[in-house]
Amino acid sequence: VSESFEEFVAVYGAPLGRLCHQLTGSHDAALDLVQDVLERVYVKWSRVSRAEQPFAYVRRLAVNTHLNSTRRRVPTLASDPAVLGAAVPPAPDGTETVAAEDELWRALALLPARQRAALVLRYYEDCADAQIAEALGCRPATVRSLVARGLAALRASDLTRSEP
Amino acid sequence: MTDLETRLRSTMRAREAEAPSAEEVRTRAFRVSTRRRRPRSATWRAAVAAAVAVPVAAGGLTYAVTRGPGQSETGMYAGPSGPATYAVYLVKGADSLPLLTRVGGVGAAASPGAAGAALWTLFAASSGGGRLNGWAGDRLLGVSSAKDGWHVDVARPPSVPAGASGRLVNAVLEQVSWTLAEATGSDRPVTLSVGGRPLTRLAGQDLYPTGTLDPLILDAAAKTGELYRQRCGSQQYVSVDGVRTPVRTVDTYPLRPDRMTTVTMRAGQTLRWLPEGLCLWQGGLGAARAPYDAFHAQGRGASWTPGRPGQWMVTLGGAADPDYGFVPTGSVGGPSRTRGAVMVRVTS
Repeated sequence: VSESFEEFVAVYGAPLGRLCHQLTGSHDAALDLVQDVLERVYVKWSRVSRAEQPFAYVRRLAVNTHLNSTRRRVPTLASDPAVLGAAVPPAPDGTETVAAEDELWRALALLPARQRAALVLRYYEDCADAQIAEALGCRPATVRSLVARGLAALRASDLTRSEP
Repeated sequence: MTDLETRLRSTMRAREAEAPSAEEVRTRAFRVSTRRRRPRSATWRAAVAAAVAVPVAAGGLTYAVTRGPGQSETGMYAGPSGPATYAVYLVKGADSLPLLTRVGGVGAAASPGAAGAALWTLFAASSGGGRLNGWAGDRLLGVSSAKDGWHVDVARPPSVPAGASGRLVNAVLEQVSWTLAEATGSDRPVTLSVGGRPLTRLAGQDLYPTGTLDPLILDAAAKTGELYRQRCGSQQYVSVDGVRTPVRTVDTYPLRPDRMTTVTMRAGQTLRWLPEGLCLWQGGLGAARAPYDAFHAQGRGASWTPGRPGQWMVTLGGAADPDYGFVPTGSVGGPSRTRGAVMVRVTS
């Protein structure tokens, strides 16, 4: 198991790390999620190793593990709207591009986990609705709804404006 | 595709650089496979216990192994009455690349060689990029000693990428925790403590209650000082009542205060980081063995007017984890990404 598991990690580790980072929005949280996912992969190795599309399987594991963990999690300071809202809007200077991107990233962090996951799978992983639906365990129509609501929330957020 | 969707894609792609590296993922995978192994045998645990009591030598360095009265139930750092508590570290040896780690107490036993404290331990990292080796067939190499706390300072082996040392330390400590668990027959990681405070997030950033700069700050500063420059293309300045001082790029590790831009100002004067519109926050530096005893999270464009003399490290952007007490609000890029640091000496 160990050898084939290590081979699997060598092939899929980096994309898994990137996906987890997109889902969690944090390097450290992504690493923790990676480890949680890999533990589940390790336990279910016989099934994973036989899967026709191992990464699709792992993607589903990652999304579900993340969604399960967010159900238990207490809000953190970093994602506390009160704290984020306390930031003074940036002054229009050369850093505005970075600031706008940063604020969109943080607005993304405030979305419900399923909406964020749907957006990540759609716009980062370039998954089709059917693939997203499989990963989230819902119907394609629900995926479209999640994406639409996520985008609407971002659009409605003051944090998404590019210029004051 | 709408503008928002385009920006969303762009933002997600831009953030890829912050995702865990393949090496970090492999390290986590390694821990998974390690943890799933069967617990060590009683014979192995007995061998570990016996090894604690003897001096060992490796890599040309001799390590005094001491056993003290302060061993707690978990076997770690429970000795408020003296520096004789200990931790056990195991390394693989042979093909390992040594990673020297100094473990020092905070307070009287703060430096290696201080009375009663042999504070050097040796870890091993493989030559494969900093991944820690497995522990099978290990032998005991070192013992650390501490009084009421300790700190870890890593000499980075060539195989470890610059800037990765902080995370490596965490990885080492997590491995130590599991190794001790195995040695004691526990199926849960041993709880390490620092200065009486349990370490509950070994993989996170809540370590280093040291008398020196937080390695993670240095780590982040070293990486992102240059990153900031690349992304924003601007020279940074700090301004004290309108007098600007260019900020030297933070690009060394370990970072020493004497290699950072130093600014002297009087209490009551106002310091600002330029270009304006960025976050300024600051933390105390090693004063009175209580670093980070004062923090101020301020929004963009904020200034800082210290009210009392002291020495401070002022950073642009946050560098640590909220769990550790930092509140890096308003920073461009959020926590863990300091974009610069200066030493500020405040006189009366």
